[in-house]
Amino acid sequence: MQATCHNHAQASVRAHNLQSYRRMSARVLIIDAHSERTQQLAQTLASAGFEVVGVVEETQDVHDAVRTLRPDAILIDVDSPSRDTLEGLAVIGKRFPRPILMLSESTDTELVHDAARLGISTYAVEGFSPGLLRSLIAVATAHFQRQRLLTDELEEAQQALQDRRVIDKAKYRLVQEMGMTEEAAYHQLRRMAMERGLKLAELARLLLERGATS
Amino acid sequence: MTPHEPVAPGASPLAGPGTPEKTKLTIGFIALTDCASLVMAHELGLFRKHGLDVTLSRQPSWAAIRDRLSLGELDAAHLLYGMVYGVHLGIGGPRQDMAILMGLNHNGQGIVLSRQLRELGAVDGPSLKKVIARGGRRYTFAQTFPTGTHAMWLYYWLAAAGIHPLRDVNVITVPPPQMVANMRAGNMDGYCVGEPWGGARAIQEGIGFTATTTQAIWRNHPEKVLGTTRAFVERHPNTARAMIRAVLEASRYIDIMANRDRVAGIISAAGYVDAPAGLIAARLRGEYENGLGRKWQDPDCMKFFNDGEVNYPYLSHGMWFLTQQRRWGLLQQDVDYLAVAREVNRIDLYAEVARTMGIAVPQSPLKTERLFDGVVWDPSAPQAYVESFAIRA
Repeated sequence: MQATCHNHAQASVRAHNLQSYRRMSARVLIIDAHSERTQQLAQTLASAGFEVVGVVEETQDVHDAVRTLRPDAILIDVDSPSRDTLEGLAVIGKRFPRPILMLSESTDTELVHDAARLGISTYAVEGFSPGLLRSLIAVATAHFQRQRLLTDELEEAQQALQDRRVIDKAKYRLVQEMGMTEEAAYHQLRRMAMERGLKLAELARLLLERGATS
Repeated sequence: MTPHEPVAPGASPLAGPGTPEKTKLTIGFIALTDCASLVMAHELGLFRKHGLDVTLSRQPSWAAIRDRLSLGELDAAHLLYGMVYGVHLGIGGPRQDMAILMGLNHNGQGIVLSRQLRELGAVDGPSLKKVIARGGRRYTFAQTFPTGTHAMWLYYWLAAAGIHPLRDVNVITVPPPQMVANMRAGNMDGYCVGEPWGGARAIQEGIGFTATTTQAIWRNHPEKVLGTTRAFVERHPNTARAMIRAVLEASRYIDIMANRDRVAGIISAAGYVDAPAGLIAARLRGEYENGLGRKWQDPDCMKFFNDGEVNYPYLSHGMWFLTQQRRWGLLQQDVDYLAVAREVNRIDLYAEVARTMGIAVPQSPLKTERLFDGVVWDPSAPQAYVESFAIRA
């Protein structure tokens, strides 16, 4: 059983085919400060077959939420101060999830590290199936990795767009003030950037700032 | 260093057998007044002086500190004394062999009760017992980490007044900066925490008063320590020695009372404790008020050095936390209290460094002490001590 879960997890993470978890059921609580990304994670977990019993913002009463919702596992922001509240519950008894720092198979330590680097910390009740635990962490990790990639791409695209605007503006100013053609203005900008060891957009920004203050 | 300066043999920390094996370190801390000696070792250039390039990293929770020590993202940290033992024995979480290099401070924590409790007549342990015995509702108290020091001070103080902390009241774990807000919201009736989140803040906001300082529970009690994993010390003994040396120098600096306002100013910064300097400074100077009209100069305010008495990691201190963890059922069975303390507290490394600095090292790592209820902690009979308490798990 464990080995099957293990293989399934790897296969499904690779293929992003999360449907194979439908048969498993584990009650998961998510505690996070960022409600938007948390909702997306909740959806991913649900489509992987986990039962998300609640999404709690860390400013809410975490202690009360855990006592009422009785999750088998908790995913929480690594940097949430409320983690200590979970630690307080973990010592009370077997019915509360405990912090997971290692998985039973030593080769999986890297997975827990990856999760931590992505900001996920996991708690699970004693007796929670190791295979299922691995799947839970793998699914959450894959989700955040994809999300981070998307965010990075989006930021890059936005940056490129902004740079283009700044360069155009600087070029236009040269055209206006120096009576240059667009092409000559562009070459002038490039030469100035090269001489100063700056990126074209950086130089354009400097030029515009100086223009604004003079 | 210029080429003209003569170099005394062995004087440079960068040469010889004492060279730190790892020089680039990240040390974790929590935003509390008692992180001061780590901050000052950094700010005064003492880590650098001893060949260490230290980055101080503020952490959001004790759980995060534990995890990052285990994962190797932190090399050492400001830690709750009892928590180190909790991790070493795997109480409520993953087990990891730990090491305590030195004590960081004594005293300076407090138990705060709400204004509502005062209105009901509770001003100290015995009067709190009466209020709770009257019934009506269940009262909730907070501490900062289940195996930590604040939990043990709170439990000890309640139990000494005849209040069973696990049966007569609810106890929850709350991050220090959230204590005041939680009490204002009515989520709890009292808490035990370190400065500056203890009395000063609660009194200022009019939501509570200091029922007791922890130094009034145990004069010169152990509190925070500089700790790491055992694996780190085994791999980097010279780095551990260099850390001890730098922090001892900082501790000595802070215990010169004339330096304390400067210390308060530095540690109050947004990157460190992030609290008003005045709030930190008053209690660092020993100026106390309890919010019930009593003001006093406390000779037992937070201490960082006290001629090394603060810093020597007495085995009996580690053993005391173990006895309390056993008392409250965090430890399911008796352990060899002395043997566990010997595993964790690196008195060998500490003593070696302290001696070269001319700092006194006690003759015995075991010390008999008496707490405020008159009960004597005799480290030669830890099991009998645990069993002597009528109120226990």
